[in-house]
Amino acid sequence: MIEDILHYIGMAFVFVGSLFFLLGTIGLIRMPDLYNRMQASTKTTTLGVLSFLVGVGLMELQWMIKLLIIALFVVLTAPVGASALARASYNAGIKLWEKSVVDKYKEREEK
Amino acid sequence: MSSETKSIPYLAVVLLLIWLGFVYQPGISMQSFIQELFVGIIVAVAVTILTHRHFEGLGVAYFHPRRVAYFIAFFFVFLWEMVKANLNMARIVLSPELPIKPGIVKVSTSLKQPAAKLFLGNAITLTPGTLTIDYDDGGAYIHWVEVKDEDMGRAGEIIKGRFERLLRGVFS
Amino acid sequence: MIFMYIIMGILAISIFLGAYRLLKGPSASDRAVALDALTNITTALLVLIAYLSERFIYLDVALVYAILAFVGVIAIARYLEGGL
Repeated sequence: MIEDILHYIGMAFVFVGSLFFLLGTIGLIRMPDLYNRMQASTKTTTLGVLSFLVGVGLMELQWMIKLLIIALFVVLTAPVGASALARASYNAGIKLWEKSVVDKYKEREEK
Repeated sequence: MSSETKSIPYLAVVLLLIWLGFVYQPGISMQSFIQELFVGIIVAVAVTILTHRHFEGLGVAYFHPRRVAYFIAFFFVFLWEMVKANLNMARIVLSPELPIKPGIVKVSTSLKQPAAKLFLGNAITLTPGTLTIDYDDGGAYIHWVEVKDEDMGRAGEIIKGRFERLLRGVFS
Repeated sequence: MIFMYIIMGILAISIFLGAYRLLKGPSASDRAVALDALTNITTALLVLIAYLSERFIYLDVALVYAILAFVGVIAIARYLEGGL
């Protein structure tokens, strides 16, 4: 009985996770410059992986520990990779979108 | 014995727990689990002896119950903020006129330890519309999808929110 | 079972959209960001395959894939910064 309920909750988590993937990739297409794309894709796909893995873990309870380790690993490393890539791209000369309102990082370099 | 030296046994315990999480599988027999446990203890101690000097000075210290409590609070606040961030991002991505106003702002931080800065940067990257780009002596440079305030202090209050207070509790 | 087909459909559309940015993206960084998103989706897909074929051991594939993806992103970042 309780396993059936957990199974359906897990299905809901999996479905929400895959919707976040879809949102992330739509953001990847629609956003105007690299940094906004990075914002859209990094956040949504990280939460997507987290939700997806927890969902599968609820559907198959004995897998939960290993799935949580994978999820923890993804949540810890995805922002590190995104930050490193953002800084590297900025230093490699990729410009912000022309309608951006402020750029304090550039002011730092001019000092 | 400084607090940094005290943290060494805890490193081995954390490594052992991660190892046990890796080797656990459904229907594992007691005998092979004990074998894995022995191998895990040996590997955890060996890795700790070889690498503990790289962990010194990062601010990673022993598990005082108060720190653990702060960390659990931080974790749940973080999860909630992450869900809010994603709903916000979904609203931006799906609205036809793309309501964004991006920019890079600077935010000061009073956290000193590298580990605390890492956690703050990760939390900022995964929460509403912000992405940490770089740290320097004075603070962090953050790309923000909807710039609400260019001033260092007020922007910091919006972006860092409760994270910094909780992290100060964890790492002090 | 129909539920799993729906999930796979959504993931396939996501991969298709990501691949569009991967092929078109004006700069190398855009491609790297698209690749990062695609590896996250692939990790989830590997876990889904493990669930459907009921093999616990397949989860290790997903784990190793996630680790290698992280190392790859860091390597690309180092290369763009000229440190490689």
